Amino acid sequence: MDYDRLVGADARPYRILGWFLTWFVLIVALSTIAGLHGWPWRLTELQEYLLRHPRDNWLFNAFSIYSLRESDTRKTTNVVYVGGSVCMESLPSDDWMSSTLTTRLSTPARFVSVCSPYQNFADEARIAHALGAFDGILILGTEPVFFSKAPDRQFQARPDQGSKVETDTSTFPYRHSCAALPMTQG
Amino acid sequence: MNVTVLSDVLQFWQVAPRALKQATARALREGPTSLHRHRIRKYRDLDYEDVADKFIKKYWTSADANEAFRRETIRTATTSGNRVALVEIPNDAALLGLFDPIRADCRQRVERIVNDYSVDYLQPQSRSTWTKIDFFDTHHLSPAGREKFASILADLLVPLMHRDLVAEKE
Repeated sequence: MDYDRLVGADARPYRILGWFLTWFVLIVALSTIAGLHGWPWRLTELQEYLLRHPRDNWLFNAFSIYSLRESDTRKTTNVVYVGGSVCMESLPSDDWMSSTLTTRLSTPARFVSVCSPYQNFADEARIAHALGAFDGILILGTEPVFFSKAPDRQFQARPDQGSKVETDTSTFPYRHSCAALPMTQG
Repeated sequence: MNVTVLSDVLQFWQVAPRALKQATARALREGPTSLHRHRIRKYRDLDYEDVADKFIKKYWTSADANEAFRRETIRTATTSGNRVALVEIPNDAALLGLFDPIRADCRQRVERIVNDYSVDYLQPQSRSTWTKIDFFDTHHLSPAGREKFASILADLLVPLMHRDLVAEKE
């Protein structure tokens, strides 16, 4: 192969071919790896989920929980509403609820809604655990269809852990993989 | 991997979260419009009897575990010093009958929980007439139903919060 010619102006087609092949191989390799892990579908689901339920994600929840934890909750009357899509879509903004309650009570009141991303009772139990003490009222949605949900489809305990799931609330905002309560399923 | 490819990949990772953020902000800005259009399309041709059947089948296998988790949530919250109130999510009155096989059992479970932990039970269902116009399906509220529910919930919450305030002063 004439390398002198390759590095000169005549090498342009080879460079283009090399660039194309690099991208092709890269895309195929990444797609294969990602596809094996179900990433394209998960990403689509995530985007869809965020678009449909902008309030209903862990970033919002983490922010809500963090703001509750960091602020001086003794100065206000707090209501935290935990629920799934029904609960979240059933309410106007937290600000509207807060101002309505403040007006009716004539004292500062704060309403914070936190959604359980997997919309099941196990998830809500974890949120309650993460909330800790906020000196207020915790509202929980209750309805037959909620009792029909798979109780813990996202957080199944490993067989070697028996009915217990690893407990680690030291990390905050807590991660899916570690935030869990030691509890026994009924 | 050459430098050009690497820089393109890096740029993609910078742009992708921004695009997602912008899309989320757009959804937030548009508010319920896009969500409701989606819901209306999704539930327009739904066979509610079929849906109810599925819920009922799943209920009998999941209810015990769900009750245990619900109890755990209440224990956790009360141990932290918080008060708990359960709220019954309203349903389309015309479709309530579809859930009759499980409603009685569910009510018993909830009443047991309410009695065991002395928690409040808010029931907006009986505070208003809930019709098809208030829902997209059997239980997801439309904008009209949402306004009604929020107002009733605020009505129900005020006495509880007032009671707390009085107790604190005493």
